[in-house]
Amino acid sequence: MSARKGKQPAEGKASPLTSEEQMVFDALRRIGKKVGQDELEEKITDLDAETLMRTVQSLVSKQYVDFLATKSGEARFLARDMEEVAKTSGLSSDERIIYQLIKGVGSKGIWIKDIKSRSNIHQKNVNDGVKLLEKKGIIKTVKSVKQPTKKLYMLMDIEPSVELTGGAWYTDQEMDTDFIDQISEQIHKYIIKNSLPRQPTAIYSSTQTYPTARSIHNFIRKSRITTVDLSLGDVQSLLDRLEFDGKVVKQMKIGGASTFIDRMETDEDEDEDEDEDEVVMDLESEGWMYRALREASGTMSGREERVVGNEWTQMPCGKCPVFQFCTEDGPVNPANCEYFKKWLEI
Amino acid sequence: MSKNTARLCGYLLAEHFGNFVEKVGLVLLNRGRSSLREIDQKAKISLRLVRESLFVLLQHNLVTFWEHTEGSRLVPYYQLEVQNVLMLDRYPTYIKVVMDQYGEEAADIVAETLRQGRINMEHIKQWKGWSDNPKEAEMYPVKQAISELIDNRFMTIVSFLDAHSRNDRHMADTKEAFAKAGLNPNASDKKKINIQLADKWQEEDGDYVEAQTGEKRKRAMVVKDFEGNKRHAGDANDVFAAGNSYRVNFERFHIYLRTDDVAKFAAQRINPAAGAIMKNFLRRAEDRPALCKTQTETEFVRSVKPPDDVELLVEGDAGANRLLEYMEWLADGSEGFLKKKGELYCCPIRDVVTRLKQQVIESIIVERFSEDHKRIWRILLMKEKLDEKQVAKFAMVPIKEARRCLFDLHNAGFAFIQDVPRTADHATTKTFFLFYICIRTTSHQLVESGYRTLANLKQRRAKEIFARKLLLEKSERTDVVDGEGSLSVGELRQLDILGEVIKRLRSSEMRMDRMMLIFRDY
Repeated sequence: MSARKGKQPAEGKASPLTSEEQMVFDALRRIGKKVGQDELEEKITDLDAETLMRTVQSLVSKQYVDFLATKSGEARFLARDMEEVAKTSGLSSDERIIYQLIKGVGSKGIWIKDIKSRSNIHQKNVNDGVKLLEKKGIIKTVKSVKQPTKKLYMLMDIEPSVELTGGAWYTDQEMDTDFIDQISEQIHKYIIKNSLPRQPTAIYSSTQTYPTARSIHNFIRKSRITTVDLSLGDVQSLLDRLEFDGKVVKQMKIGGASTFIDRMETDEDEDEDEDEDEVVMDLESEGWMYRALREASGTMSGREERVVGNEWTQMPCGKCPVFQFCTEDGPVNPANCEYFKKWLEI
Repeated sequence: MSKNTARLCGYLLAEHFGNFVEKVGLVLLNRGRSSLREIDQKAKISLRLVRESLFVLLQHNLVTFWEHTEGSRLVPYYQLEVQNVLMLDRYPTYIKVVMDQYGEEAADIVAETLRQGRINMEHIKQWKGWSDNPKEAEMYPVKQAISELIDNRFMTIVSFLDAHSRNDRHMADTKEAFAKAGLNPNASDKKKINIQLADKWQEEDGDYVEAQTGEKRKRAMVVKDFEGNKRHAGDANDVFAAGNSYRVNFERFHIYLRTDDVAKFAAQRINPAAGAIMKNFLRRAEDRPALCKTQTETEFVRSVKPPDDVELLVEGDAGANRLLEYMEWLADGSEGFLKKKGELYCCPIRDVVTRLKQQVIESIIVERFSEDHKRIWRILLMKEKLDEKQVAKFAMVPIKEARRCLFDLHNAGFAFIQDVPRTADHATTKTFFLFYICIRTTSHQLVESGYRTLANLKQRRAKEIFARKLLLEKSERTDVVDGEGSLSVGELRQLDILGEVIKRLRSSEMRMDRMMLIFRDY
């Protein structure tokens, strides 16, 4: 293959290590994270600094260790796992650069043109390299929901980021509006159940508490409405959507003990898997309560009367497609209007 | 003024006053302020008819005049009060309000006043068929009703000021005040004059004015004009003084109807009890503002009379004061019917009216388009300026769908675009297009559409009647009315159909007018 240059280890088989190299490699594997030169010297006291650095250098060139530079230019080393070493051992230098770039972007994926511009490798070599890596099962292509025609490359074992897949709301690169509608409806029903007084013409006292984003999230997890794992942020988006629909209103939570949350928390194991992101969102998810509006609940109020209705749209002109074109004596006019004729048929 | 408004005014004048008045009205509409001579030239009817038409229009407060000096002569110029013309179709609503509030006698008086433009006791004597010197007992119910209507400002004593438009009066006052102030009034003089003028105008409009001592000055009609003017001799302090005429005060009706609509809105959003409380709250404050549109909020009060016929139901940990619970609920941020300051409440009526408008716009959007459109409109309402990607994200719809909805809303005048160019060449690819909504502009457009719709309904009604003209003429023939001739079954059926069609068109006109009330007059 023309792209291959220089001395390369045999494909699929890692170069053998010397005993010193093996020792340093094992030490790096044990550390399991990026380390700088100073730290490495502290950990490995058997070798003097110069030998240690030479050994690390050799490990880097044999593809056993990643060499990474921080923004300040400081060197950092990270041991690769053996599987990766085996996979990448037979790559040419161009392929290795491409591999490094693809690995570097993680779950975001990288476009082939970006690989070319960042690596400065000839287009043909990039194409060949990518093809080979794909054939070997080292990388895969994914498509983003934002740009469905653009192919992005990422490592085989990495899950595409939410940005690419669109998160819980996307199925096969398309927004699943039916799913969104169904889940919103369930949430709306839940809020109606927990926020409207039993008597249709009563209100709740001002000390009453209503569901919060977190309690609704718990409800969805417990009730197993969906097999899709919805995050607290997803639930928050649905609640915002219901608010935009004018079906629920947001109310600032009153301070002090909240009976609703207490009730919700008594029968469940709260937050066992809470991560840092969710802690940050606490204010958003706990600071607001959601209550349903009666008009949106339909039968709850039992009253059919509308405040003002839409008098205009009840007659032909309100929905007329040629309303602006219609004039007193033009070709389209109220006297010969077909919509009026239909409307006035008795 | 738009073409639609002119068209509707023409129909309204023709319907209520006939073709001659319509002609004079249309001249004034199309030409603007004109002298008698100019109207005569354009209207193409005899001078006598022009004079009589103008008299009718002046009598009904549909035309005002102002005298301009031309050489040594004072020439009156006439102008049509378009806003008053547009009220012509609302008269049944006004009569119904009085009927509900003050009973049949008062409703009759208001109906007669609306029919005549203005009435006085002499006219009432003729209308009621009283003798020249009627007994006090005979006059009592009528006088009682008139006093009540005037006390509550549904009717008002005709003032000399009514013959001039508000703008003319204000301009003349300003001119006079500045002439008095000397050659070069400085900034503080100007400020003082403007404050005095604003005070005077407020008083003329019949608004409550806070006196500088903090005491409430009693609302008083402007008596000055009566004193020096023998032609309009009358007394504003004595309702039944000789020479007094009475007319209907539309603004007061609008305030009344606004209370009803806000109460209905609260009842629909919360419950009937909340609606009843809002009604009591606003009814009590109704006599304060002179003009419906200028009021921003009511006065702060501690509490309100609880409604008599509705039970105040509260679930949960309610204290003894259920009314307070309701007031708190109405003052809650997500409802916003009331505003709270310490222990006191007021109604931010302007904001509530805006929400009422929003609600009507939302219902129009749902009916014309879809729930998705409504959601997107509300997103723009709450988040202000957004581009289509952000809208799609908030609305949780595919971007194509969001774009389609946004353009539907934009084309129908519910959403607007602002472009923010990133480069000086305004290239479309390098420009952000932000969508936003403006309730005010949308309201104006809806009012315009309303005028067009009302004119369409009237034109269609005229066409329906014209199509069955012969049949109608036959049905009104004396022999048919007396039962000598008769109509065939088919003709009777046609008459029934016509009746139904007219009823449907008329009721649509009335309902449309309620929408106009919200967008134009509240």
